[in-house]
Amino acid sequence: MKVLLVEDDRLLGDGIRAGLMQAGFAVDWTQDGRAAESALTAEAYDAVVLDLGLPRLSGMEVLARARAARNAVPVLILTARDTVPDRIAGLDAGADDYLVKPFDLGELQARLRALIRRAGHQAEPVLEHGALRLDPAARSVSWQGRPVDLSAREFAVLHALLLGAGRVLSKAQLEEKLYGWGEEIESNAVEVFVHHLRRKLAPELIRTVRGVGYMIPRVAE
Amino acid sequence: MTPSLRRRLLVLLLGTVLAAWLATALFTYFDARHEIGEMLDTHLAQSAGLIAAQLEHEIEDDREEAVPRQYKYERKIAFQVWDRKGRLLLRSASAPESRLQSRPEGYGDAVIDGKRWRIFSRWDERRHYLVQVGERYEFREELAQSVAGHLLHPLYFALPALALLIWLAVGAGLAPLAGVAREVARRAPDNLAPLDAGRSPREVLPLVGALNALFARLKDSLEQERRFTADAAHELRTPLAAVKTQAQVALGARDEAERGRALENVVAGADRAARLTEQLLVLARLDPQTALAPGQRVDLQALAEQGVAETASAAAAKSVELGLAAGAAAPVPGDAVLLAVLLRNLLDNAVRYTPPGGEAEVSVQSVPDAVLLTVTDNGPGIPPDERASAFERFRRVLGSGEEGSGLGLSIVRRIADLHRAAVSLETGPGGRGLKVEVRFPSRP
Repeated sequence: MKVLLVEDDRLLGDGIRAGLMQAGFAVDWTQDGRAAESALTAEAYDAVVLDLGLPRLSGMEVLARARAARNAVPVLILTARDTVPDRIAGLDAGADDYLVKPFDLGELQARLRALIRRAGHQAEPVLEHGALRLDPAARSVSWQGRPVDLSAREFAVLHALLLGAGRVLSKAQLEEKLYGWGEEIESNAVEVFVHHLRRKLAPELIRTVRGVGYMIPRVAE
Repeated sequence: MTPSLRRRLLVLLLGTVLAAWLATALFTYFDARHEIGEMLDTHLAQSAGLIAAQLEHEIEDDREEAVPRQYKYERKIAFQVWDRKGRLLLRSASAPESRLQSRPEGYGDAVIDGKRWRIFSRWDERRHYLVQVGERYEFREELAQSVAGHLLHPLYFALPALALLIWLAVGAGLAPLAGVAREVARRAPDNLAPLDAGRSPREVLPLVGALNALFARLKDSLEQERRFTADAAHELRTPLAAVKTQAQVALGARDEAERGRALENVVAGADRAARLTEQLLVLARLDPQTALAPGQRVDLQALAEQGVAETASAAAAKSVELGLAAGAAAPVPGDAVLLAVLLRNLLDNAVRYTPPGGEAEVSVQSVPDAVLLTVTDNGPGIPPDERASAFERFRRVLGSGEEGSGLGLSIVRRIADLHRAAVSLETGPGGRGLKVEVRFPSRP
């Protein structure tokens, strides 16, 4: 799950980035509004954590422009302004959630998971697919009732494929979801993670669509 | 006793009425006395004339005769008839046996038995008899006093009635004032809206105006305080959020390195919150101050030396070369503690925003009528269009990668204002970095 973090405060931004990475998110971090705007145009994020008091372009303006460009990415506003009119203005400008500083890191992680889940039109917090169960909050996976031990990256690949069940995800799309800016992407990494997943779960779970990418087919219910 | 406008007006008005009335009575008394005097003098002459005319027939022999007293005023009226030889022929009972006055003809005053008399003397037609007619002055006084006194009588009833009416009228007249007082008294403590001046009479307008001006000033200062508190609270939230987040990252760290880094950030965040709090306190203390204690002089050069010495270790830790230009003592009127705060903020900023390996320099220069304190650095500087807003509270320079409190330049400006010094921001030497110049007047 890839999140764009827009926060101009160095210490706080660093903390959120580290905290979200601990929860398995890939994080791109920008420190001003203009950079956030171009990041939003260039890449597809699963969610955005947006500070409002930003240099160069205010968070509200970033949000308004993203919505005007028909970008439906879930946006969680993070701000020190906590009055009801502030919250209303933020939500009405197109934000999906609102968190006031100082906040709890666990709550931020949970709210982001909820936002991403709802954006995928999914009501259940736990993803189920046949004998597969993936719990994003607990970061646990079980196959046929047995817990399966996955690395963070393997978990992220499986999570992305499950959220997009029935759709083909390209190698590049998967890589985007795995790595934040500045993180080194090993070549063949996605192939390696898919290989591990097939070995740890079931060989037939993830299908390769030659020349396009990977997919987990929808389960006939 | 509390001064009362109503009582004051009552006393003044009543006093004025009483004085006017008494003046009228006094004037009437003197006027009446004069008129009565003239009238009675004429009367006296007529009486003398009548007596003289009667003498032709009635005095037949030389005998002294006293006419018996008959009427109320007769004791106060007297006459005598003398013949040419100086014999008293006729007199009223009230008249003495000596001459009423020595003057043979015309008006005169005399004192008889300690009483003052008005006398008129004349000879009859044939100049056989001298007629003298007298009248006690007391009689005239009584008449004049009675006329003036009658004028004073209504005062006994009128004065209390007048006092009551004035009391009520003044009360009614002062009602708008009481109205303003009631409106102010009824107000909720946070209601600082201006009073309605439209209904106030002209005399109360200055008061309403002054009150409204006071309300406006209070509102401004309350608003400023409220905004400052709100801003301060918001500004503290970010470093607190950073501390909390970094602490939670440390708790969830998967290895020692990550935990260590996060904990270092917790400390850095706490330092920042502490520094922000300290700067807020400086500003809060400065805000209500409007003037400096007069008469103190501070040597800026010595202060700059001290400031550079204090900041030297922070500069060295960042590999910033901090220097002080050589200069002579430069005394300016001012507060040493505040000027040290100003200098420390400028030096902190210079070191903070100068990249490692950069330079910062302080210089103190005396020019005619002023002393210039200049701090230059070769950091990123402030773009010209952002220089004006750089003095606003909580304003940080963008893209500096440094976390200041955003209050440093506000504090500098505030202290400079108190010293009537001007602060200007310019591009540093060689076209880069920042040059902050504070121009202190060298005379108070």
